[in-house]
Formats: sequence, C-alpha cells, structure tokens
Amino acid sequence: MSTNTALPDVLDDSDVSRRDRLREQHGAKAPLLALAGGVLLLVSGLLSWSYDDRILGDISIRFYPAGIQIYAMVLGLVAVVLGVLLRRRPGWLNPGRGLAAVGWGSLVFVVVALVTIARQAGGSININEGGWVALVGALLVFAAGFVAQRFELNVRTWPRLPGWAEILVIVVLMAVLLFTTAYTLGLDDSWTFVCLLVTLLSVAIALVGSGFGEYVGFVGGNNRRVLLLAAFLVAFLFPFTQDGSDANMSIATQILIFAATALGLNIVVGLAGLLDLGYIAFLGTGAYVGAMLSQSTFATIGWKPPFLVVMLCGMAVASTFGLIIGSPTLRVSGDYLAIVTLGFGEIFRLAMFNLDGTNGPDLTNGPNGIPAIPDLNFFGWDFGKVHTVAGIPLGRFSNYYFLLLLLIAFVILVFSRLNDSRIGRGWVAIREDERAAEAMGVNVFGLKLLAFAIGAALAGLAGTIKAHQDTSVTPDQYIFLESAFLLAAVVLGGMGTVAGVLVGATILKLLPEKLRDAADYRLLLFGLLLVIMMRFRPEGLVASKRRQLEFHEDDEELVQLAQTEHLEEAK
Amino acid sequence: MSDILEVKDLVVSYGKIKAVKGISFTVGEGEVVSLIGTNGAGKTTTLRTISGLLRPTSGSIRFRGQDLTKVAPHDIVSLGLAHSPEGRRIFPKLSVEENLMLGAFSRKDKGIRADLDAAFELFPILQERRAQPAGTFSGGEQQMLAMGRAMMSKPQLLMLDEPSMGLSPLMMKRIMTTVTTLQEQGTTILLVEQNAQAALKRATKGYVLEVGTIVLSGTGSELLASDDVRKAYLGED
Repeated sequence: MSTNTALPDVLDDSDVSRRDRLREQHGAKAPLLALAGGVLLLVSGLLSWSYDDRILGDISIRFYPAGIQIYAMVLGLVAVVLGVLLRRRPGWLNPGRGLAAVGWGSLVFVVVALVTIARQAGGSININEGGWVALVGALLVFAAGFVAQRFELNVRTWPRLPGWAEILVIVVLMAVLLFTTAYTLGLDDSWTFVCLLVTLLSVAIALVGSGFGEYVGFVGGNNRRVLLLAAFLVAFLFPFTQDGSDANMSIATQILIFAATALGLNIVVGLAGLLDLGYIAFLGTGAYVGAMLSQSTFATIGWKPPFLVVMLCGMAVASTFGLIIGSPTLRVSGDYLAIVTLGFGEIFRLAMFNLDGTNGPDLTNGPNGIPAIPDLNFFGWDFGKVHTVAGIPLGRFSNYYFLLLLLIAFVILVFSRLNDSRIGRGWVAIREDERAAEAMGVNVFGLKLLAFAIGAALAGLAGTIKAHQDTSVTPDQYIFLESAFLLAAVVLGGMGTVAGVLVGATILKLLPEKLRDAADYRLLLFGLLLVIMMRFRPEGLVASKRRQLEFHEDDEELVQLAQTEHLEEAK
Repeated sequence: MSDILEVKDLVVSYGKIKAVKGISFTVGEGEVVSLIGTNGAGKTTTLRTISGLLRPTSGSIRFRGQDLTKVAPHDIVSLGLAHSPEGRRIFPKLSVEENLMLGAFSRKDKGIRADLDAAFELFPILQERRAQPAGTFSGGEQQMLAMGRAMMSKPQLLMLDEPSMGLSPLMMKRIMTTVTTLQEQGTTILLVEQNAQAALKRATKGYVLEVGTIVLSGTGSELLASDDVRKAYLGED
C-alpha cells in the first residue's frame, strides 16, 4: 500500500516522466543506435528481400537495389545523417524528433513490405535475408528515436548562406520534388506505392520535425520570387517527363482543376473565414456556362462566342450566383451560412438535373448533361492533338495541363494580392473578432460578400476549362461529396496558405488514383486521415505562423518565432 | 462651445425590452463628457448605438449636424468617430502593430505612419512590444492598445467604454491621465464609466444614467459634490 512517503513516487510514475527518465539514462546511446540501424537499412538495400521476383517490383536481386530496396536505403541514409547530427548538434536542429519519425516510418515500411511479400508469395518463408536485416535496422532506428533526447530549438543560429547557395538549395529541392513526383506517378503497384508513401511521409516529417523544415521555410522566405519561379518551372517541366503518356497527365490535370478550385475556396474559408459547404456549385456553374456556350451540338444556347468571352461569362454568372446567395445569408453567421450554402449546392444540382425542357426551359438536357464538348483551340493550337516540343510528344492532357497551370498562377496571384492588401487585413480582423472589426470601421458585410463573389468567380473560371477538358458536363459531377472534398483539401493542407492547399489537393486527388485496391474504403480512410490531422496538426500540413498561433496559443516557442518573423518582415 | 455630438430622445430596445428610454445629451467640442451609472444602466448600449453597431428605436443622433441613425458603422468611423469597445476587444492573435494598423483601416491618407509613431509616443510600451501578439498582454497594456488603436483612425470624437474595467489602481490612473492628455491634444472624449470618481474628476460635463434614463446632469465637479452621486456611486453616507 502506498503511504504518504510513497506518494511522490506514484505521481512520478506517469508516462511522460518515465519517458524522460529513459531518455536521460539512455539518450547517449541514441546516435550509435541510429548509426547501426541506418547502416543495416543501407545494407539491406543491397541484399535480396524475396525469392519471388514478381512481388513489389523485383526485389530478389542482390547488389542491384530497385523499388523498395531503394526506399530502405533512403530511410537508412536519413537515419545515419540524423544520428551523426545528434552527436554534433547545431542549435537550430532537433534530430531526436526527426529520428522518432524515421523510426516509426522505417518500422511501418518494413512491416508492410514483409507482410506483403509473405501474403503474395504464400508464407514468410519467401522473405530473403534483406528483409530481415531491414527489420532489425528499422527496430534499431525506432529505438534510437525513442530514447534520443529532445532539445529546445534556437532559430537564431540558422546558418546564413550566400545568396547563390540559398538559391541552389531551392533548385535542388525543386529538382528532387520533380523527380519524386514523376517517379511516384509512374508506380503501378499499390503496395509499392504504399511503401513509397510511408517512406516519403516519414522522411518529410523527420525533416520538418528536426528543424530542417523551418530552415527551408526561412531560406524560401528570403528568396520568395526564386522559389515561386522554380516551383512553376518544375510544374511546367513535368509533362516533359511523361514521354507522351496521357495516363498521369490526366490525373495531373484533375489535380490542377481541383487545386485551382480549392484555392478559390481558400479565399472564402481561409481568408474571410466563411464556411461554404456548397462551393462545388460555383465550379458547376462555370462548367455549365462553358458547355452551353461551347461549339457542342448539344449546347442549348445558340450563342457561341470565343473561349475568352466564355471564361468571362463563366466568372460573371458564378459570381452573380455568389452575390445572390451571399447577400441574404452573409448577414447571419457561422452555422447558418454553412446550412444555406449546403442547401444551395443541392439546389444547383437538382436544378441542373431538371432544366430539361419538361420541367422548365431546356438549358441543361437534364440528367444526360451536355456531351461532345469539343477541345479548345487557341490560335491554331488544337488542344485535342499531340504536339511535339523538343522531340518530346505532348498529348491532349498536357495541353490542358499548361492552360491549367496558367489558371493556377492567376488564382495564386489573386489570392496573394488579396491576402497582402487592405482587404486582406480587413478579413483578418473579421476572422479574429467581427464586432471589434466593425467598430474599427471595417465594412464587415461588404468584405464578406466580396470574398464570396471572388471565390465564386474563380471557381466559375475553372469550371469553363473543366467543361472542355472533361468533354461533357452532367449534374452528378457536382454532388455534395465534391464540396466536402474541396473543404477537406483546404483544411488538410492548411487554411489561408497557397502551398498548403496545393499539397492538400494533390493528396486528396492522387491517393484515390494510386490506391485502387482500397477504393471501397476511400471515405473511411479520408475520415480517418482528417481525424488524425485534427488531433495532431489542426492547423494543416502547411500552416502560416498566425494560424499555428490560433491553434497553439500557449506555445512559447511559437510566439517567439512569430515575433522574430514579424520583425524580419517589418525591416 | 459648439456641440459636436447631439443625442436627442434616444430610445434603444432589445426586442421588447427598452435598454435606453429616451435620453438626451450633448458633447461639446474639446470636452470630456462622462456617462456614469451602474451595470445595466444603458451606457454601453448608448455608445454602441452612436457608433452604428445598434439601431435606435426612435430619437436622433447628430454628429456635426449629420444624422447618424441610418449611416453604416464603417462610414461612421470615416466621419471621425472612434469607439474603443467594452472589454477592449483587441485582436489577440495579431501583433500590437497589426492591431494599431487595423485601427487606421478606414483611412487611406499618408499620415498613418506618423500617427503610428504618435500612438507609440503616447504609450511607449506598445513600441517596445510592437511585434508581440496582443493576447499575451496584461489588462492594462491591452487597454492602452485599445486606446491607441482607436486613436489611429484620427477621430474627432473618441468614445471610451469602461477603460478602467479590471485594472489596478495604478494602471487606472495611467489610463485616466492619458484621457486628459488626449483632450489637451484636441480630441473630444465621451467616456463611459462605472468608476464615477475617476470619470467625473476629469469631466467637463457628466450625466448619470439609471435604468435607461438620465437622472442627473451637471459639470464634473458639481456631480462629484452632489449628495445623490456621493451616496449612490462613491459609497459615502
């Protein structure tokens, strides 16, 4: 029985202090564990993992790493680097947290790989020595991550590189990004894809967790223009890595449409702080306008203006709808707005479903929609044909990809200009405290309406292009689920940021395409993903400092960081 | 003194309940006018109605002769009326500087930077902590920020709603001294307070509100000397 004197011990026995004590006792062993584990992972890449050469690509050959063997080596390399850094730690790094991420990642990765081999080949007997070596390595790295000590970061000790070196950092990062994207999209096997995903995710979390992320953000902030330019260059070069294949380009164009729409939604949700659950209707409005005014023989309106005019019409009609929905509802707050927009989304879909001539004017051909929308043609550049540039064939989807890239650039421009403007400051004030904003002379209703109209216009613009790219428009493309996915992309990626939404949109569109095996569980998995995000990183994957502050008010380190950043900006 | 603000027979209701039951008062150019009264007397309601955040049931509010009862709140700020709301309502996650700049939201002229410096001069601590999130401030510092923020719109009439609420005696004194400083710099001030002593000491004119009606009025010193005020608000027998 516990007596009074034993009480402190009982209190001390909480999980946290036990872990702290463990780290104090064994923390010194962490670098060695990480090195050993990392080296084992590296070695495992050179060994055979399986007898069967048809599983997870071909991983049966020794001294010829391929597929998941390379992933193991990447994880091993990161573990080794972090282990070394743990030994001689610079003040701005916290390798312990990185090691924990790599440890978890390696373990999950190796287990997934081994289970897959065992399942597909019929028993664990088919696992070769490489797999077992990797398992031991992963366990060692995991242990290292578990006992490694954590440090307070000192962001003021960031190394200042000369300008050209900082630019080089950005260029290398972007090149890695391009290569990884092209490689990822090229994978056909679901389980190899899962392994890659685990690898990429754990490496990313490790880099961010150990402090590299902050540093890259800092370097990127110093060279904002270069970063933006490099990002666009990489995006521009992507179709040239596909060798004329349209399979991935089709996914890529879908991602871009989705991302452009999500960015528009981010103005409404992220900047103005209004919850819109029917945003897909504005994309639909644009698509229907694009279809009705197209050259399609099924188009219901006789007027067939050039596409530039169609784009403007799409924006105008969508923003008019935005104003009509917004002006009565933006006077109410929060939940009511969400309900009204939810209703609007449904009304739009049902209206499109029923405007078929029997229930009203024939505008949409009802459930059949408007098919046979011809490809765009800009000054003789036919979007439907294969063009060869520098010896590399670029198919139909590549053409739309380039157009959508321009669209994204335009949306990003609008977004960031608004964010930095007086209007953007007004939105910040409204988000923070509507009443106080009103007392400060912010035209609350007007600014909310403006956000609604701009968001709608951008979605309408994207819709006109989508109509041509999809070649047909039907009501069932614009269901509530799509609105929910758009919102999920914004929340997942990070409200109020451009990069975050791009990441979120990519994840939400790419995963279902690549994980066909799990298609039945798609919604379940997304739900799970969102719940996990809300628990561990409610501000989204890429978050602005201010957002982070909103979710972690008591984080002293963050307050400090936000302050430093503000002073830097003021300079 | 010409009147800058003239409130006449103002009635404000929340649904069926009348919070302000037909009050009239004036604020002259360069004055400090105090509205005092207990909780629920209708002081805050009056201020919120003047700045357009609430609409009156009847009566008129004239600012330099212009009726305000149908003007939008953001236009009222542009006309030269600033409202430092009850409970300060600073933007907690924004930095001090961002808070101040939002105070100047209604302005588009070039003098904003200079006024930022003026606000920093008025409250040097704000300059020291200009990058700090305002939510991390103490109550007194937040009140300073709220006043500085209100001054950023370059108002002709500054309305302060209970600036002394929840402050230490020392900080309260500091805030009240600033009220005098602002008056000397040429700002007219309408001050709403529960702390009658502090509010009346500096007031050129005072009104006592009780359950939506003005029961007493006079110069600050008259009211301070009046038996009714001493009994009801200063706790003296």
